[in-house]
Amino acid sequence: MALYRFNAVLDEEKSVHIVVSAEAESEAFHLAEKEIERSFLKMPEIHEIMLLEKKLSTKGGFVLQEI
Amino acid sequence: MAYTKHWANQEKLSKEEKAKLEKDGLDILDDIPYYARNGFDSIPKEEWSFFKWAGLYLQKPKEDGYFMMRVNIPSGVMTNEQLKTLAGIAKDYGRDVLDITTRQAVQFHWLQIEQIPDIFDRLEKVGLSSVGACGDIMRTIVGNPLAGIDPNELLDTREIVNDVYHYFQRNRDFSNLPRKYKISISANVDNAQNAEINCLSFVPAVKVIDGKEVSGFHVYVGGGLAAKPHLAKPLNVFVRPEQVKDVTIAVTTIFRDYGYREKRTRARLKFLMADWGPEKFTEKLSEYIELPEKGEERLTGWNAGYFYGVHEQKQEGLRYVGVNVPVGRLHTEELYELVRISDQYGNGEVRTSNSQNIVIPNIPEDQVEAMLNEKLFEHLLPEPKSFMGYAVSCTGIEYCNLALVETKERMKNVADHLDEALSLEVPIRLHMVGCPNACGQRQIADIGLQGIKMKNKDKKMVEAFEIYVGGTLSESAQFNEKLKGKIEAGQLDGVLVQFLQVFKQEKYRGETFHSYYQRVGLPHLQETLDEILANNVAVN
Repeated sequence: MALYRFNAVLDEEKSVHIVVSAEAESEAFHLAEKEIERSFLKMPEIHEIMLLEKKLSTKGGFVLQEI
Repeated sequence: MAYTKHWANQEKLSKEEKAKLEKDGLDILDDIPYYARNGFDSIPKEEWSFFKWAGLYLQKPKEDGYFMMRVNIPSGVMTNEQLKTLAGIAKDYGRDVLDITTRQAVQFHWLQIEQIPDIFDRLEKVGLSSVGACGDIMRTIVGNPLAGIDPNELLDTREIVNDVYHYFQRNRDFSNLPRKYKISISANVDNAQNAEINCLSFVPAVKVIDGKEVSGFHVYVGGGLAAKPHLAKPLNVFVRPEQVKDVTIAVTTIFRDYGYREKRTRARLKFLMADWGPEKFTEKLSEYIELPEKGEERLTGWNAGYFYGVHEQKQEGLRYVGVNVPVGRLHTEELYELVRISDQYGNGEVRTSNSQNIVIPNIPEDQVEAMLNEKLFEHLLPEPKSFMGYAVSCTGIEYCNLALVETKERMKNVADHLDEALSLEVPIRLHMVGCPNACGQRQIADIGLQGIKMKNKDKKMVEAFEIYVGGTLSESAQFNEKLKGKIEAGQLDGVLVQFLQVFKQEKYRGETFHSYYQRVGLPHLQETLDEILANNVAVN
């Protein structure tokens, strides 16, 4: 299990950060997309989604800075 | 000399600090023979991190039980016997590969616990050691790869480096530092040591004392890269050569006793320096050792640790030859050829540089041509092209648990492609890294390429890169800056060719990439990249 930090560009160039814990990168992408889906009333289109960093421990986190 | 761990009763300590109070990192050396006899499964998981003190990391996936071993090469100086031993380890245990690191050390991969005692024996017999190459301890000492042969060095630093290295090797007074601790000692006037990115650096300087000019060092403290890079700051002191060890002991004691142990993320010396500043640090240092104020610094520029080609040594009639090792990776047959060639034409010595390349010293002038006719130098080029010659890469996803992308082979392929597509009269220092950490020193590159994973327009997960520009440790030292936009790995060659074609068209004759970056500014480089990306060459 690891922590994964993502950035996604949605409609109107809105940029969001997502952090998920997952067993593998493919699962992390899937979970990140799910987190986006559940965070908006109107489903946004995901134009870009990028995995920027991973941490092996699931304890801890990331500081989300302007990208 | 025992010391009191005054932090032992500190209320808040990181879990790593608590573990280090229970067991010193060097104790793992006593445990390794047992684990070697009983196999990887006999190693409790909570012991894994202590292997760092022995210079061993578990490769990914950790559960498979393969180790990476880093071996200290202080100042990069290796005897023929040492190189032969390293070649033998690569051949017998390391799947024929040895990597040169950005701190002049070397690394093996694919080692198993059962093999470690024999590897330790082999290393010890020739005076080498992996102890302290990783862990919260003084790491291998970066130095001048030309020490003792450098016509421009202020003084020969080999003895000083050896003295400091042997004092700190397995020294339990300094085996429990708050975090990793990287030092450099060099009198090379071109800052081959990358002084500003070490925790502690001794750089060449002179001072008139009692009417006589004394050659010695200035001291920089608190540099480091990683997620929060920081340039080391100069202290207002002058150090005589014979004082280097005592000053190192003093600074290391300050780090040991005042460095932050509550939060591991703030434990590097750079955080203490950021809080204290150079004045307070100098004042604290004066409590340990009396030193005069600064003299005159003798750094004249920055060569980033590159020494390509044939050059005169300070010894008349002798030459040193710097050759390129593509992304720092050597194979067994190349290593054995180096052993033979350095012995046949020189005195057997080979030296590593922190640009991941090698220098063969002590070649008689009339032997140089014959040596360079050896087949090995068709691959390890003394005059490499602008890109391959200056390409640096971290280990990448092949072995590293944190990397998101492959780097070593890709960096080689990208550099090859750029060399075929473009000819430049100035080198471009390209550094490729697989994550936001700093093993490939992305922050000081002309062009840094940092790996990410992304979903492309077909919704497929692909490897990609972000671009950073303008890093340098020359007089106007600065870390590079990020350009917006991401490039799918498969399109990296094409984008870089176009980006650098613009550089080629717009640069003045002889202008370096950093000077160009300073002249045209970041917005112009961003516009250039935007235009390339908008032309659908890359995934934007």
